[in-house]
Amino acid sequence: MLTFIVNNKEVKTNAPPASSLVDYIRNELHLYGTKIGCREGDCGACTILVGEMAGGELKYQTMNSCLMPLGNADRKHIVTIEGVNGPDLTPVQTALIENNGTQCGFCTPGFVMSLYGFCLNAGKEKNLANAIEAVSGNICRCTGYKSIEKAAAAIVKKLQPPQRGLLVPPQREPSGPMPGVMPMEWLVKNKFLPDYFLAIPEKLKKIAPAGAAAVRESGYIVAGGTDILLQNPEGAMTSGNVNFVYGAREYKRIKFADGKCYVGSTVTVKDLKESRELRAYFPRLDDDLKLMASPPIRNMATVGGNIANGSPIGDLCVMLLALDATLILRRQGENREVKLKDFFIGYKKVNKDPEEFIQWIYFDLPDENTRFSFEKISKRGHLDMATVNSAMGITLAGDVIKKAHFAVGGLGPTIRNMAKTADYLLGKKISNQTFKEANLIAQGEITPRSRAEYKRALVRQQLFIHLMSFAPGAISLEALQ
Amino acid sequence: MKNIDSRSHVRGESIYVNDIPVRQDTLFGVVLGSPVAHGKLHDIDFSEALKMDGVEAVISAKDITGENQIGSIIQDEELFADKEVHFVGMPVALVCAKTDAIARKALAKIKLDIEELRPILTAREAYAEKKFISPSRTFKIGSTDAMWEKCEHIIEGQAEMGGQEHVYLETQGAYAYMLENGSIKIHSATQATKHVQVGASVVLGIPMHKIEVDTNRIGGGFGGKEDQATHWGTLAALATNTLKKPLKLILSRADDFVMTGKRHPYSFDFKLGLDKNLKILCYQVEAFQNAGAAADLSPAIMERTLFHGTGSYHIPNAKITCHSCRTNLAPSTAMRGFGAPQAMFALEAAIMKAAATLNVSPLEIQKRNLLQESDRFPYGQVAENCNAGKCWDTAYKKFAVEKLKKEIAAFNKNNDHSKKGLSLFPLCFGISFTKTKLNQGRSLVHIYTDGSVSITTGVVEMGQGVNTKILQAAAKTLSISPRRFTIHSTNTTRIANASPTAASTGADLNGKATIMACAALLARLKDVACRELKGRDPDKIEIKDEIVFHRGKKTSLKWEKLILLADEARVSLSEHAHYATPEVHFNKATEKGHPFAYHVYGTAVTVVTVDCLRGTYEIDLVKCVHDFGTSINLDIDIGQAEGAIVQGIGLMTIEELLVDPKGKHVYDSLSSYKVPDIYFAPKTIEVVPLDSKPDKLALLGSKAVGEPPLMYGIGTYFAILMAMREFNPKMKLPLWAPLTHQKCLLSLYEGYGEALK
Repeated sequence: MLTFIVNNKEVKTNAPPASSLVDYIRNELHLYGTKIGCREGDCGACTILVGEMAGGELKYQTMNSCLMPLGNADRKHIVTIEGVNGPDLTPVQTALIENNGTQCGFCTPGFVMSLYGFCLNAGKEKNLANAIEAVSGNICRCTGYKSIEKAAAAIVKKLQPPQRGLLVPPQREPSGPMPGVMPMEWLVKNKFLPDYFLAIPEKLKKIAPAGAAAVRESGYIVAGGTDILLQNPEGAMTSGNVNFVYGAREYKRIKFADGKCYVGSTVTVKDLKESRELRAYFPRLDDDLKLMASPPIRNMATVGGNIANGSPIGDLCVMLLALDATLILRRQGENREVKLKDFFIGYKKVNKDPEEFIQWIYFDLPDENTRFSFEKISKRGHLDMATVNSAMGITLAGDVIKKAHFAVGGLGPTIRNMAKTADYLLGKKISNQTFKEANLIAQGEITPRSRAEYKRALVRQQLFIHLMSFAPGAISLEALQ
Repeated sequence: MKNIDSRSHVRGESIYVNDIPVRQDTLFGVVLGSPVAHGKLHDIDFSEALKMDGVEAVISAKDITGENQIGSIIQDEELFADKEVHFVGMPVALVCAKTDAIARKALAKIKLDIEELRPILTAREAYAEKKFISPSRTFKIGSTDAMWEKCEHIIEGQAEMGGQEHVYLETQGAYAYMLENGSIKIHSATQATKHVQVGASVVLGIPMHKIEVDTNRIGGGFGGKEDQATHWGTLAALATNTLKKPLKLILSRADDFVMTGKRHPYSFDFKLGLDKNLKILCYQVEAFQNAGAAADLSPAIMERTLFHGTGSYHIPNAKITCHSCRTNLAPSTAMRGFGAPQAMFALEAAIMKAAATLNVSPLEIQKRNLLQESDRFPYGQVAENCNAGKCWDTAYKKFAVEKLKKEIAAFNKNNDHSKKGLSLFPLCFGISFTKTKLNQGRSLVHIYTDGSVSITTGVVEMGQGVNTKILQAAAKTLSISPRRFTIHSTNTTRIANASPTAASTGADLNGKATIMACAALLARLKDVACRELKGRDPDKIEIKDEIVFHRGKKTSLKWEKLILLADEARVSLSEHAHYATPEVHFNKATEKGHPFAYHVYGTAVTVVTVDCLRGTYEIDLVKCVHDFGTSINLDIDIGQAEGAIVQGIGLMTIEELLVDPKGKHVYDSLSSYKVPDIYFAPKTIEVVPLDSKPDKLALLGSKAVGEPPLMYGIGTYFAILMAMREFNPKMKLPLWAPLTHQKCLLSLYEGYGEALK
């Protein structure tokens, strides 16, 4: 039996926990404002808000209800477009209307919910870039987006409290539009959200008692679930023993110890992207991860899930390979460690039993001699899978490469750990000559099966860009001509 | 006035077909499509599927009680494959089950015995094998043959343009149920209620009056639901009639992608002749249209390719030929622009190639050949109120093109890894259905006794804001508050024989009809008011802002009272009006006539930045001066223009369709077929209305807007090429849209791959 709150109503259901939340919302609750556009998280028409208590606070995030297994709604607050409606239009809705941000209307509820995701995200500054990022998982085929950008700008303005002195000091991480006030409460007070939201924390506490949910030791492991319903939209997972680990708080944290970083497997991509500690080590992390999926998917997708999925273009896997990461797995009370480079054994095949749980991923923390670079080329740029993605991590002694790891995705059934190219780089200084020779070796290490000429060119270009980013000035365009 | 649907849109309360609460006992249909592109269908075995719990029936060609035929222009399209399959995804059977999920699972249990035949996939292949949809056609003006020798420069080449998937956010679908006495109601996501009605009538073998088609709104159409919504409405009706149960059929995105047709891919051979002053003397183009497996709207689309063969230019000697080629793709269909973007791309490609060959700026050639007042098009019509030059000059000045050029030159000098490029694109697009018969609109207006008004027209609202414009026109004509109106669903029982909502004509045709209906009602109400006010001349009565004026003086008679008086006097408060566009005609025998009510002009300036290390690009700005006539709703019109521009950019850049040698789409979902997202859209879009005259055939002078701005996207292609040439001046010009990241990178480093080997 699953228990959760949908808008202002508690629901209990025996529906299969691996079925899709959007079907439950539309077919069982008859809430038709949430639309189905693609069932693969690529359009955002089904975007909803998911609220849960974390550290005594109610936090909301957007998610794609088409990809979300019902089991992950358990004990949470699910908000659909109907749940933000009041008797009058809300400021978010008014902004869209006033700026002509809706035409056919089919994508509109999704945009509204993503904009609410922006309003409710305490960790993000209320500026236009962040508002636009919040809707970057929503496709609109009518407006060309300019009117939606204007609406987003209007909302940003409405979120700034008019009184001087109450503005959030930029150097502080804001917790809401007003310091010290939870965004939800502020939004209720300012008529963005209906009053019933104020009672949600108490209601949630009743159905979701505090305390860490322990990870079970059996069942097919599902974390964010973003690939489960994609593979089986008809709910092939509707029967059988499913082990939902998304809520496993124990592994939803990033630890630093002994010069190493330990990332818990249920840490989401969004958690990574917004981690201030990690961003201190990887200054481009926020931009790099912006190229991965969309905000609602990043809110769902976990690090462990991305690895266990074994995709040949997994962005995090490419990055973690370049960091020479190690996994800690657990089954039946036993732990074991495996190097990530030994983990991928075939197309979506990994060195892991389906019931074996990835607990942690760890890697050496970069020091002042370490350089890291990630590149991804896709058809569109954002909300797109890589045509080729790659990452390189090196350690320098002076201007000589001492350690190197290089991984490339998109070239075959698994991500390639480019060991020969990395070995070649050891002891070398970065130069045009080094690039040319490294490229010849890299080209020998890959066997792209489709679009081979293009993919080979992308590997060459990405290798060039990695090396150039490590030693600007030491390498020039002539190397490519 | 804001779009009248926007309130329900932002609240998620707008109703699309899939949001209609289902009746008890409703079945759900899932279509089984052919897995092969071409083959003989020997047998379908559903026995295992029928054994599944919850599967009610499997319907196929043998269940058709009328004719197995849904072709609209040419009757060459089966609803269900019977003896042969002609494209991957061609409907073979419909599984009807208690849930969508059960129906989908049952698909796997159906066994098809198909003998595969060799598919034809490209237009040129079909041309070589003489597989045509309809006879080839040629438009001619002057004499190209005699003029080639007078040309200083002759440029020849090939251009290609791929198809485009509509990606309306709402997939195709229909919901059908029985009414009494054998009548059927179909809620259909269609741009053409009549097409669905005719399709169902023919397939079921029952008269049209027994089929009611209702369309409340659709979640985007872009042409994709003009002819191709018929299948699903007809299938739902057939299943409902066979099983006597309601049936809902909503295509999954995957099925929609495979089963429905797309914009036509085209291939062109062009030959362009210029004199020493860069005046175009001659242009000859042969277009090979990939029409797919059935006619659908291809003959009409071919026609528009011919009409727009010379673009926004005056070309004294032109010969434009188009071959509509039958292949084994899903029938190519209408999409915003309807054959015109392809024709315009071919001509711009020829101009670009000429400019590159002669080492001049393409702008020089473009500017010198723009259409002028009274220039004759190859189809006989002359350019009236021609704004081609005015748009170009205004854009050039307003958007400071000279300054942009200098900035770009400076940028390119200072940056090795990225380059900027600029293009201008002049637009001329004819408004009207090229099939004269379709240029008719209808409107039914009821005034209720409380003074509120209901309007139904033949137009389908799909986000283009047409209902808002119609409401504005009605409110203006009656001079009453917009709050008094509801625009109701498009329904075949209220508006019969409606033309499709297409060719950008919806507002003109149905708005004009609405004005006529309102004017007729107003005339009757003036009579009533005249009698009430004891006047003699109803012409001296006016209604202004709901108040009756007599001889210019305000009276105490107000709208609501006037309506009651009219009812009391037994005066009809309902009116149905019919509008047929005057002046338009076309003779297919001579290929001459006056097919368009008017033309829409514009010029777009585009600047892009190409990342020459990654082979990617960003669109910095698209700014255009566009001829809206005298817009009655700039909010809506600019929204249409911005959306069309971005869709057009997608067409020219990242939206790539590719079929494998077996005729299967390689990119067949939103995860692999990418349309512009918010980050891909140009950083700046500016749409400046041209100071233009109202056109009397446009709704209140407000020119049609749906399709024309899409073609500004063509400018992006050439801006990217210009930037790429800054990096690699020697590259061979790629004249094959879309200009994907792949093509961009490979052209930037042309020859490098060879050096590796």
